[in-house]
Amino acid sequence: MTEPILEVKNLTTSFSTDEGELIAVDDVSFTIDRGEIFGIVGESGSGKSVTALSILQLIDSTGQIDADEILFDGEDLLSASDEEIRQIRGSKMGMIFQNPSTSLNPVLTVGEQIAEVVRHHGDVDESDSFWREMGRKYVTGTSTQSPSWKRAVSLLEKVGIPAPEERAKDYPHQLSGGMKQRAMIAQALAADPELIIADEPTTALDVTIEAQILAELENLREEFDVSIIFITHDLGVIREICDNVTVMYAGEVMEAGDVRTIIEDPWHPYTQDLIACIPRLSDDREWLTVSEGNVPSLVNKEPGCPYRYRCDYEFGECTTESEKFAGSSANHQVKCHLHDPEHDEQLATMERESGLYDSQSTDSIDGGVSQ
Amino acid sequence: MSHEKPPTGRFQGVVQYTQTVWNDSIALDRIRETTTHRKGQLGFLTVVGIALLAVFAPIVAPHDPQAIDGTPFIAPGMTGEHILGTDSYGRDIFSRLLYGGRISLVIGIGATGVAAVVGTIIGVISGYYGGLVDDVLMRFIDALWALPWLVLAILIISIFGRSITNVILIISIAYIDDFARIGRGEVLAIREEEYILAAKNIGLGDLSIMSGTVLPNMVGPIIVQFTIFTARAILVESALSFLGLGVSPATPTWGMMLGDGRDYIMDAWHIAILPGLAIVITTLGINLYGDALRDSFDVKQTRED
Repeated sequence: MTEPILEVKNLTTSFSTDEGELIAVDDVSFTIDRGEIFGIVGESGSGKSVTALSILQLIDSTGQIDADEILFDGEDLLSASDEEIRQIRGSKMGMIFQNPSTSLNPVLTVGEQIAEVVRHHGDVDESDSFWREMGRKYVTGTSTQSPSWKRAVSLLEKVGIPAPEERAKDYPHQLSGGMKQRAMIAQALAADPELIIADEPTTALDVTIEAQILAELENLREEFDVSIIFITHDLGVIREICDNVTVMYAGEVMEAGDVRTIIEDPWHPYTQDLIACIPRLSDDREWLTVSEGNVPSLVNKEPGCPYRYRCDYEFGECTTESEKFAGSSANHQVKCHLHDPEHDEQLATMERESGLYDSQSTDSIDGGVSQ
Repeated sequence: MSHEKPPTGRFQGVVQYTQTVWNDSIALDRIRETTTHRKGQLGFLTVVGIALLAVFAPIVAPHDPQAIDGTPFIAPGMTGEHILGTDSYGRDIFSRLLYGGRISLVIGIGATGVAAVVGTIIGVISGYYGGLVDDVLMRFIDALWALPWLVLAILIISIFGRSITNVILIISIAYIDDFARIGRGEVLAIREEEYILAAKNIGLGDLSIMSGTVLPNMVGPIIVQFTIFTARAILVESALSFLGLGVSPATPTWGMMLGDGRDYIMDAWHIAILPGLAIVITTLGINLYGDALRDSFDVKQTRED
């Protein structure tokens, strides 16, 4: 067993605000193996993106990152200097942002932006000194004959953009959403990273393009053996491409484990509710199930399970902090008092009363996920 | 082209390099684009025309601008010798306009250029870093702004004497704060964009992000500001000349000619009106071309046209 590419232990990210301390990520731990696609799922405001940005240390100056350790490729990111972090960001970790139309610089051509990363990464024998770069940006542009431009074009081709020579000369607004997202992926790949963090890369796209992008990411994993952190709010997408998944709610990990196990046998009421929201082909429901309510405020959080305000199974114990309980499979953890052996009876009663939990676990959502 | 024998050796290398630069150059693209812009064409022709006339003034001018060799107060078109007439001393107005244009253009563009470069740098640094850096730099800019420029002008001229450089210095100091504020405002908006985060994410340093990612996105407003302030700088120079703080009295500038003609406006209108027209036409030309440049630098806008 090789060492994992990324190990995050007890990561807590908080922001100081006027109202008090906002804990955006609360005690999150996970491990990602090489070549693994790791999913983080949860609704808006559950701390998925902040988790990603914390790993890259790209959060605002008002934010505070605390963790026992964040080991990337054996190197502790917390103790690394700014310069070292910059090196890692540029070369070993790539990030694909949620909104392709705002994450590309609107005034530079797509090829220019990718070629810049190629040069910065130092794969090609071309100067990327400050004045040379300025000259390229304001006066000459990257020569179409130069190795960095050629590599940019080949990267665009690799992510499935037709006529890459032409598209490289286009500005971002001249491309469609899906093409921009591919260009973003090409930019992330330009540095030849070992880990790509994809923050809701398909949210802004329609489903056909989404399927293509997902297939593209899987190809990349095969071809380059990169690990991918895939952040989304769509369990269907997670089911499609991820190996392991972490379900987050209000900054906390609710349930984590192998994708198949979690989707077929979700333990946490939150995960069950998320799955119940997915439309299925075999549906005879007139309305989709909706989990009422919103994510609670993360400022001055009260102790206990953050989902208890919306949970169907809420009982007295929920106001106290729950431990993590390991499941039957070695790779399944849940943070819910219902799975505390002490409360076995509680769980059994509730299951009997509602019947929901039972049907949920046996009814596989195969065929229901977006293809 | 194919029937031509390709050039060889070093010459070939130079030709190829020039061709690549010509084909790839972004800057040239932008300039080329302004030639299809109608306002741009008009502005470009005006500015280039006036600049050429000013540069070749010694060849074009029919008379010595200082020579008092004609009858004073000749109206334009009255004699073939002085097509735009003569001023109160009998000097040829056309020749004086040509020579005056040299000084006025150098001061207008020079002073605004210095202010634009210094002001934009201060504004970008201030907006990008924020916090203490922002506070210190912007208080400095406030101090510059609070300083009455006329007092500054008297101070500088009385210490260093009258010269083009000093006039440029005075006017640029007066305009630095405007560029700094515009620059800072633009950066504050751009700083929050996701592509800045993306640029940090690919490992670029602050200097590269400021100059390579932020700056290209704010070229438009800076150009507009530049064109407006060039026109104003030409007028400010005339105010300085009028107060005796401008370039030496012997050197004609448009502002000074305008001031001289003020006394005779009822009897010989052309002495004041003609340099005034020169200022208006020049500033109009600069503004028109500035509009075209802004449109072509704003890659999104050109597409929507």
